[in-house]
Amino acid sequence: MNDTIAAVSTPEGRGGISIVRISGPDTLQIIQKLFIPRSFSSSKLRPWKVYCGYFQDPDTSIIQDEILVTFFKGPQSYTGEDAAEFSCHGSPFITQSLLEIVIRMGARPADPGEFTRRAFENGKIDLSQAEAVAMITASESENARRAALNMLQGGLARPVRNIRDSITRLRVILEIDLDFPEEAITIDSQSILQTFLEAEIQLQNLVDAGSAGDRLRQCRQIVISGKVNAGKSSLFNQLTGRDRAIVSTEEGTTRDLLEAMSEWHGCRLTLVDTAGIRESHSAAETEAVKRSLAALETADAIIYVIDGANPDVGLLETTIKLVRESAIVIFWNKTDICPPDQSLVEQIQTDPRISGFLQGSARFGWGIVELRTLLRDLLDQSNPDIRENPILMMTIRQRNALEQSLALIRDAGKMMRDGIEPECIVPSLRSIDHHLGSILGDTLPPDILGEIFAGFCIGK
Amino acid sequence: MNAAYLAYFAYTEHRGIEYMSRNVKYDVVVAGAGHAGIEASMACARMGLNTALITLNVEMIGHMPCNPAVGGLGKSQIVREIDALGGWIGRLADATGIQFRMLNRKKGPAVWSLRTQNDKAAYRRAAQKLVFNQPKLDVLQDEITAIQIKNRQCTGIVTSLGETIQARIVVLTPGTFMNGRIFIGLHSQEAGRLGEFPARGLSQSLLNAGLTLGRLKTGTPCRIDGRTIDLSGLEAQPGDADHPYFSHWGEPIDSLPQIECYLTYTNRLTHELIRNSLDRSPLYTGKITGIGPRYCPSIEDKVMRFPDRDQHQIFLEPEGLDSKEIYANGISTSLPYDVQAAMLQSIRGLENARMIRPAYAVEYDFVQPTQLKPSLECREIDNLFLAGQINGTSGYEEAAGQGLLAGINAFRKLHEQNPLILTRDQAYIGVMIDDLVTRGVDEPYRMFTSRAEYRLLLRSDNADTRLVKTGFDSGLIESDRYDLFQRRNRLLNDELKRLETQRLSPTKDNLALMEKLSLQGIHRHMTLKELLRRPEFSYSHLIEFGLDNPGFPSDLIEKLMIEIRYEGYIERQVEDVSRFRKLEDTIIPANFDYLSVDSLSNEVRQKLNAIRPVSLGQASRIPGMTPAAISVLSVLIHRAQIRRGSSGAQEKQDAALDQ
Repeated sequence: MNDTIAAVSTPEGRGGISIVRISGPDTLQIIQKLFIPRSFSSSKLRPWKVYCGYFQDPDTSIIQDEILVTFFKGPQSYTGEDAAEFSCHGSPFITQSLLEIVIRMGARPADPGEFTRRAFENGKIDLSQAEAVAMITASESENARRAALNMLQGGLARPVRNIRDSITRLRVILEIDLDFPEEAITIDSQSILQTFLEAEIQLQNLVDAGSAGDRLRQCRQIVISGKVNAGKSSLFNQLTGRDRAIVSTEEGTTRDLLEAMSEWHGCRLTLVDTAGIRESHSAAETEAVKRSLAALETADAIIYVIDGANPDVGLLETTIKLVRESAIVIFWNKTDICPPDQSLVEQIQTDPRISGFLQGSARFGWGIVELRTLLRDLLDQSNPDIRENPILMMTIRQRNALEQSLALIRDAGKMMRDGIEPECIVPSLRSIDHHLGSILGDTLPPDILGEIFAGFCIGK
Repeated sequence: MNAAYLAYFAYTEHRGIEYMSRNVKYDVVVAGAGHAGIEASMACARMGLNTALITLNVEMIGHMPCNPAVGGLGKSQIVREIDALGGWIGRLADATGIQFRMLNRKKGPAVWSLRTQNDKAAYRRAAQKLVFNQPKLDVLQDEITAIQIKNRQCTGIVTSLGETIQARIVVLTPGTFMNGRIFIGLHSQEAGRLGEFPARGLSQSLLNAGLTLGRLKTGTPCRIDGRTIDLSGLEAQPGDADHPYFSHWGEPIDSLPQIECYLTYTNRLTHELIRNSLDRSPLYTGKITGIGPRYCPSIEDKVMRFPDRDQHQIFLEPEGLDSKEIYANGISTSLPYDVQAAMLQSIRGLENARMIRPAYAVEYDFVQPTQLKPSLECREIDNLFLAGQINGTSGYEEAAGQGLLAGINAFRKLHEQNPLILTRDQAYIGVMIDDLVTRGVDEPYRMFTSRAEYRLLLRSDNADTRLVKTGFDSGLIESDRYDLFQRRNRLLNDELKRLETQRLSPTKDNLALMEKLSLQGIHRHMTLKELLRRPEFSYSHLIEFGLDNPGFPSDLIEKLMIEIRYEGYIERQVEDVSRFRKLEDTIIPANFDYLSVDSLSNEVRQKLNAIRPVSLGQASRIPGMTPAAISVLSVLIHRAQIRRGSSGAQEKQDAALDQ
């Protein structure tokens, strides 16, 4: 039985839309976990129909973007298995996060040409195409390999090779113990444990560097906050260039935490338009308020919108107290209606806890360009990952391989400490080597015996 | 013409005798009567084929030219596999063992390895008794100088006397004899082994037939007169008092008295002597070009490569009960005689030792085994099978394993059956043959447990479960033995099931008893299997709780406990195997045209065409293969399958629907 595979099937880079494709037995289950249809329950999803809705991260219930979903019931699909296509907005970041969620929900990154291979295996192929498809498969793999190499020049290759060498050393030591018991080679179990630990730390560092790269690539979270009816939704629409939050003059219109993504400066920004923070008795609002508060805590920067027509800094004080590390930018809104109150402006501008102050009109787009520039500078400065830790950009496949390796080495180290026999530990090391080899594009297993003969005096 | 002659003439005419001594056509001719040749010829004859076993010297059938020992790491597993398939090396070693030791007892059962020291002469006698008493097996003494080939088919052999022996299948097992040359210092001479003629013509004949040959080197240490060794002060190495045997089929009828080996060491003086004599070493002066085994280096190699070591071990192993010869395991060398003698004098216990035979190196021709199919038949020459050292291996066990498989596959070829190919998850023999035919060798190939990916599954204790059925189906395991195996297997499975279902409750009595036996207590009902998984809980504890099974044979307890205690690890490997199987079970059509696949690089095409892998799995193990090449192949193979069993209309429809 096949497992479920996933891949972005549109060309890399920015396009109008991107398509993420999955195939395998868990297809329907994955759709149901992440897809929220516009109008009815996803359990009623019918095959071969296009549905419109949102996709969410099932672990956080945060809605990510709008998508179109088509479910193909096997064998009436390209691969002959249950399959689905998700069309999302064509930003690499959105596409990537959709793919990541799909993989977290149980799919595995597809090998180059694997969809086509499955189509062949299930007899879904026009014969005349076979040769052509084989060539495409080869070139896809070649592209993937080149891409990996490029990335590798960016610093992934060396640490991965180092870890692979550590794993090889461990295997050499364990295999000597197993295959040459009469050679009077003493093995210091303390130093073996040390090597296990070092390999684990090396892997952990690499995984961390990968997720740092991920956070960098994923986005900085920007939260728009402020009193009810201050114009947060208008500002949101201005910044994202989309008309998504419902804008009305009626108080408390924004009842849902809406997210949109936008890219500036090669870095993704998520704008969270929070519902007005205020005492509320309505259940829906309470939930929204809870989420707003959570969003404030995790934000990299907060835009606090002041209603210029009715300035009140009471809530601003509350907000500042709520956040600890995020930069706070004040946007004095509605300058189209009335000029700012200069004494208040001065008071805010001199507050050391405030990182920036701008004024303008969200309705007419005044001050938006300046706001973007300010935010960009702030975020660049406040990137702790860049300053303190190495960052590696890696593909999902690469990170997946590293994470699996990390889990395996932890397991193996524990077995070693528990005194489990070495031959039970070696299979884990073999799997790690396989994972690391797949990152390096090198599938040949290392010559363990060669290492043994080169490094130890073996043989009677 | 005298009367006697006339009478003889009349007699022969009467009987229709022609002047041809060997006008029989054999089904199979096996050339070489070492450990590969014995297994191959015995298998063929027992399966009912008219078989000839040709040897240079009948006295030397079943000889152990190197150390008088069978088994050890990885090798003992092969011996058990051969035994489960109906071969002989295990039974011969059991019957002639003068010391039995289980290596790696402190580690897990997957790497427990039995090794015997054997009485060399007794082993030869036992082997000769075996072949001479085998119906349908003719033993002939002669030298093979050529193979006969017609239309890329081997049809027989030619002997040194110029005679031709017709055969439907020829199995070559010539060991180190092809163009063998031995070296003792700067002295060298043509020889298959010390004191034995080489096989001179065969290499040329194989070259003429289009095979590529290479040259390998191996060596053997000196033999010392045991009466001249001072054992006092040397560490004795006794065997295990309580030990299993190799064979699944019971203990030998007569076992031989057991002996001890002894351990001594080289020292700085020995190493100094060696360093000063390298100008007379054929290895270091470049006279030997063949590649020797890295795992079995000569003492001069060890001294030069590991200059920091002050000493190296020497195991002193008796070669037999009647012989006084002691095998000096650890100082194999090709240094001159006088250096060897001086070396011995520098070693503790050997100060007055007298050499009976000097150590020597031997260089010989081998056939690069990538020219073979996994059945061990030559790819380009039909009906010619090769086994043993000719394929670049080293060791009696490795040779015997190949010999047995070559014999079985010779039979299958003649009966137009699919060859027996053991896979890497099935047997060490499968690992070995796959390594040989897929990757080739660049040094003499010896088995190690680390060569097996699925080591936890390829254990000595389950060789029967893995292979007895195959042996029975091949006609090499008698039906009463097969019945016995099945009965025992059923008992084992029934007992496993019982232990899975039967439980121990945390009653007051039980807890008290557990405390008394200093066993960890339980808080809930536990199955007996769960209890037995605890390291301190042994099978015999079940008796205390009245939960034992008196009908269960005690000699199966160890096997049962292995299944229980290693279940988790074994299951993980079984999962790995199922992934491995996917590629392995994708068979590549025999006539697949690699050279015309445009989407493969030229280098990859050439490699695939040279090896001609039988499965996608084998293809993936060819050095230099890329994942891309494998996925291309996978697509093309499926295309070929679809084309064969095509129901084109439906597929076109489906394809149209997809677009």
